[in-house]
Amino acid sequence: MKRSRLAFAALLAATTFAITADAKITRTGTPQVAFHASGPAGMRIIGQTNDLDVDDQGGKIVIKVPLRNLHTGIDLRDHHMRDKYLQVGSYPNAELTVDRGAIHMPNGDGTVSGDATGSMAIHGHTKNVNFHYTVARVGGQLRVGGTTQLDIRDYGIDIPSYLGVTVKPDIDVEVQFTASE
Amino acid sequence: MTWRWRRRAGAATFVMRATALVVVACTFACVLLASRPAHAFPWMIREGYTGCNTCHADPSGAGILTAYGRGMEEVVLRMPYKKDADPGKLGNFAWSVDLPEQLLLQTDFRNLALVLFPSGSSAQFQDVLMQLDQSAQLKLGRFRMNGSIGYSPPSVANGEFTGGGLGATLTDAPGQYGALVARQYWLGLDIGKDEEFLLRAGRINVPFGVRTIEHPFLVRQVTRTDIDKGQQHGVSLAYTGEKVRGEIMAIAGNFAISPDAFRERGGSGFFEWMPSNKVAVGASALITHADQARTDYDASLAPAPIWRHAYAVHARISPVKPLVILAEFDALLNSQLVAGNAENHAGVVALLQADVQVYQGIHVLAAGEVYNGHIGETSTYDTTTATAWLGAWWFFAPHFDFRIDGVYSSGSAPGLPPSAQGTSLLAQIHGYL
Repeated sequence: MKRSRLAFAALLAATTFAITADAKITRTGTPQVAFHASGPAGMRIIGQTNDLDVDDQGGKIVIKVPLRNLHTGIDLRDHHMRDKYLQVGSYPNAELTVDRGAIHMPNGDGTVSGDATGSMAIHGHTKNVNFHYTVARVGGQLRVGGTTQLDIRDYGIDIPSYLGVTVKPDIDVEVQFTASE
Repeated sequence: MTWRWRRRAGAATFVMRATALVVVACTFACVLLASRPAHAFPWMIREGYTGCNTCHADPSGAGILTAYGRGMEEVVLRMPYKKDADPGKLGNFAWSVDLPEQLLLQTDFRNLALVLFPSGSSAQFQDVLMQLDQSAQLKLGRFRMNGSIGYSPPSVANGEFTGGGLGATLTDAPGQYGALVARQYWLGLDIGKDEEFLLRAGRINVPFGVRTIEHPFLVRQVTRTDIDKGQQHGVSLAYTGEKVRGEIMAIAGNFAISPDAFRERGGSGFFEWMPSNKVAVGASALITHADQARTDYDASLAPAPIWRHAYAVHARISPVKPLVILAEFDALLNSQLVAGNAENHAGVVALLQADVQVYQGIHVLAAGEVYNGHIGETSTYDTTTATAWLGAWWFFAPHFDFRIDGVYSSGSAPGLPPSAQGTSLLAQIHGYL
């Protein structure tokens, strides 16, 4: 009887591990996505959106950011950004596709951070990017943060310029979201 | 010895040459139908603009606007009458003129109608032509030539109509025909990969504290760092980065006044740190020496040499887009040697201002200030002056704004006339090409 209980417990543990390994990640809460661009002599532009979806495809994780609601605080600038430069009518999303194995997850509660490479698709162009990530498991929740730097010229986006002020092509991107397994 | 407006042959030659250069630049621009304009709104931090040089030729703010600054005035400052409308060329010089990118032009008109209710006396009306300036900047490569020239009319009808900017006159104080006024004129060299440094020489706004268009604020008057007439001649180096900016200036004196004994020489500078695009905090310092104190400016001073110190901390914060808080606290020290005895007068002056944008183009402003230039003294000067401002500002049309203010002051302060004590009602209209 005792041996059979131990065997059941071992089977349960093994099953639980397998479920965890195959558990799909689902976004929860309100994500935060921001880009930081700069212009000449100290000019800073910060764009933000709370739209982000996580599509766990098993072997790959796709993080999709709809760009329609990206805003910088000035309506006309948003209009130019979305319609003239990002052309969100034709290219509505920015997508980062990452091999699941490239991301290290904490065992139990804890935090893991690291660098990884993924495939970034923006404006109809796809390019591999390096990014830094942090995953913290708190209870049943994963708190995920990531940063990367992009050169908008790699994605066929014209360098924004308005009345003699031209934005630098390098932008910093920062993403934070929570997810459950 | 009393101070007077400068008239010296050597300086006059320099002034005439500088004037000629500006006039040539303006004429050149007008012939080519080219242009650009200027103001000083530290509350633009609400739009995420922590620095000033994107919109102004002066890296520390105020004065002639860049092409981008003109555009932003239409996009984020003026009351919009159509959502998301691209202003197109509406911000351009004269509402439509494309200037060469090397040239900025701006023609400013500002008139103030003022009713004073001095304590203990009857109401007084004044109309002040505050500004009738033509400004220009010509930039060739990394070299810049920048200046303004204006006209201040003679005082008539017992001072009921008068001109402004008299501390910046090129000629003597306005007589029968008024005076020429030149608030700024400088030569500059842009330095750095992104031209983040600007080295300037000429008559320049003194870098100190919050640069604001409200030049009668006590923090600007007491420290003599306003943008109306507080400019000094000298050399400055400004830096503007994403997180920090600042400017230091070696002050050679204000050559618009004479004799030389009244000219202050020394240095001034400010440093500002912007941890986010909605928060900026900074510190400033000013130390000057003059062989003769301006007793007309501050009656508590002795007619003797003076070291003038001012040290400030300031903040600009926009916790939510409609609200911007501006704060400045200045510590003051006037140090004189009178008949072999040191006379030191310590003081403070502080400003707290809230700017509320109730709707794009409409601002409500409230401000309070306190000043005491003789802390701990028992003389008749040991009093505190407190002022309260309440105003409304309407950017009602392209290139035009209208503003009304009510100001109460419990006393006067250095740089302000005795009539400042009491209540004042102000209405001003500003337009520019």
